[in-house]
Amino acid sequence: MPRRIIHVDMDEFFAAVEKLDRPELAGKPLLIGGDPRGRGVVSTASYEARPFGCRSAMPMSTAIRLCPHAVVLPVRYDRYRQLSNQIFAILEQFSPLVEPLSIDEAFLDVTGCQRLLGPAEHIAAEIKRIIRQETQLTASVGVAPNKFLAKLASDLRKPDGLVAISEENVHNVLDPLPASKIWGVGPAGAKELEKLNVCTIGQLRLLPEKMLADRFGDWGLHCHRLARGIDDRPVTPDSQAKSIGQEETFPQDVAEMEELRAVLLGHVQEVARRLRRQGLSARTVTLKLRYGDFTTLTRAKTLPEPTDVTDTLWQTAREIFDAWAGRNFRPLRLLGMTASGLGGQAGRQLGLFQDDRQKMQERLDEATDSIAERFGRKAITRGPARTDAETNDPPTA
Amino acid sequence: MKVIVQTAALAEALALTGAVVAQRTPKPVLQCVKLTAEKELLTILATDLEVGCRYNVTAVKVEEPGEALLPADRLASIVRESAGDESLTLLTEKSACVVQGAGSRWEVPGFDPAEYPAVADFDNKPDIQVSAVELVAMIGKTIFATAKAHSHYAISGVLMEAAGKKFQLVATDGHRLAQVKAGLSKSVASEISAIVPAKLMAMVQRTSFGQEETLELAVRDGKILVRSARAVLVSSLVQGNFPKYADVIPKDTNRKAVLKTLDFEHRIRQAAVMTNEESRGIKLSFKSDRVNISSRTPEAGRAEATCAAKLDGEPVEIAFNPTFLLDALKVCSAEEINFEMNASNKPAVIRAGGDFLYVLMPVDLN
Repeated sequence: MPRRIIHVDMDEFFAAVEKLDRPELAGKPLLIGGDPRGRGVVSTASYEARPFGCRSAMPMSTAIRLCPHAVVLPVRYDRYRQLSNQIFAILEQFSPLVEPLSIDEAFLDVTGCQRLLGPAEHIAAEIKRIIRQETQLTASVGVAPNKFLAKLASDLRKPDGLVAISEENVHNVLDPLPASKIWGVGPAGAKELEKLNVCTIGQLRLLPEKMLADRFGDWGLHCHRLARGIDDRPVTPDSQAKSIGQEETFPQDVAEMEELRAVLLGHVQEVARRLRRQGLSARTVTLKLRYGDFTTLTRAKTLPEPTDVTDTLWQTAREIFDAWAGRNFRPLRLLGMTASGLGGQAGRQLGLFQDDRQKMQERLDEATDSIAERFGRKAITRGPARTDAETNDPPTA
Repeated sequence: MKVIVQTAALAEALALTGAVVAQRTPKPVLQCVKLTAEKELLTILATDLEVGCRYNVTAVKVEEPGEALLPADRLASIVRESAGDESLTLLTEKSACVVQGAGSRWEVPGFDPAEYPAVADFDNKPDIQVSAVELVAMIGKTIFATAKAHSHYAISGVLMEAAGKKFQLVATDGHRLAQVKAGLSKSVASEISAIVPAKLMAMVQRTSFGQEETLELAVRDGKILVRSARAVLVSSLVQGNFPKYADVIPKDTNRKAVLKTLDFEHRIRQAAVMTNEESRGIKLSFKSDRVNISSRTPEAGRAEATCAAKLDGEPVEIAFNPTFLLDALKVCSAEEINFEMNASNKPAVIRAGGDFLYVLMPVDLN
């Protein structure tokens, strides 16, 4: 049976939540992110702000210059998390195979649910309907035979879109799109392809595979496979994952250490929460660092004991980050964090000494998790990241 | 400087001092040993700034007193390749140091001996006097349990405690704890408690001593010094807090098994075949007359082994990292051990030979 994969992507998620909570903001350009007086960056620009050139990860001061009448709001991560939990609960009603990509994005494999729930296109429409009914938020949804195509489809008719790609129409949809729509092809890759007179996915597809392999190696083969609409990656829910990670590609390279640390802390908090949700602990922390020229480094560190404690994971991630930054800091295009070496509670070596500090951290995580699940967190002010620049309201954690 | 030194004596000296020299260091002088020749004695000094060693070679003829600073690994290679020569001649010439064997000659660009850091000498009264053989045995029973990974406790060394005629070493890595006790022939003047880096303890272990040799230990100014007939070892102590280890030694246990050490060790090895990095535990099921030892890994398979045991108390199932068990059984040097437990999630105790105690935490069975 051909696979049916759904990609759900919430529309301008942070901005949409703000508009939901404050209806008077509807139709206004919103910039959500750090304090413009500091070195804050834009986390989300609402659709109304985008025609002015405002983009996420842009310095807030630049965005305000581009769109001076925009309403600037602080990030209320707690509230977004709360709605995100609600949305994931909805997704999990449709399939056990839900793979979270970030706070507002997920893949579902509904191949095996179609007999029960109807065709994938119908499931996709139901997901959109129920999300809207329960949260009053809109999602753009893509349905396709694989992850790459599903994600591409959800992006085609934003906002509130539903695009299905079938095995029959895959080339009709893919061919006219620019080659840069391919996962893994950024500005630098696109330039390389232009040298071969390749601008669209269709042109790429028609090139001989061998030529791409000879010229670009694995990357060339990867692009060619995707251009033909082939992608075998499975949808892996956290509970079955060998690793749990999160990464973010910035629209522009980020050169601010503090911003990168804040992004990293965000990743660590999410990953730690997902670990705990599955009752897993991780032994290895890996950072993925990509420069503007697409050079990608990974740096890993293995802990003596597996952990699910946010603080321990954060210390480790920060050590790796600082070691990298101290030696070869360059602006980053992508920053990711992955926890691997996963295991459950069983088989865990118990400790001899009542480590008060560790106990305290575990209790802290438990408390923040349960608050997040039920009410949303009031403010996340852990550590040096997500600094004052990002939170205007007083920390109450 | 000009000395004629017995090759074998020099080789022995370099085996110990070479172990102190820093492997990787930005300072070239720290990769050297310092030779000082005076009064029919060649002293070889080595330090990595943490641990230092001062070794006296007496099988030497000093023709001209003086000093030299030489790369340790080069000198060791020269000595190794000169094993056939009865003696070697070391002399300094202008800025180089020359080593001469029978039909061989090496010239090593020397460093300025004045650049070498000072190494404290044993110039006071000893605080503790202990038989070398006994101390080495005690180190063997504890050093393996020191923490290799970073901890906020100061557990990268061995805690050495002395009071009156009581002397003991304790080491832990947070999961298991080894304690060994001994009696001193002379009381210590005042109570001593010091965390000695594992590196120094390992140095003491690899030093060769005479059967009857007594070691002198002194603790002062955040340092420990150990003096034997030939060498003085010195190290900074580990700073920080050793955990309150006495609190984790169970006072009462409701189950006690007696096991033959070698048999138990053998059976654990058999059962541990099916453990791997992810699933490190082996399960011990204690019955009245035996213990069944098993391991299971989803991919690898399962293993079972049975060992005779006399259990006093209710049957119990408890799991451990087999390495932690084997570490203790290997060193306890007793035919039989007592294995004491309370519950599957509580610390267990191994007692052996009257002087050795080992507390280990189980692996979570749930």
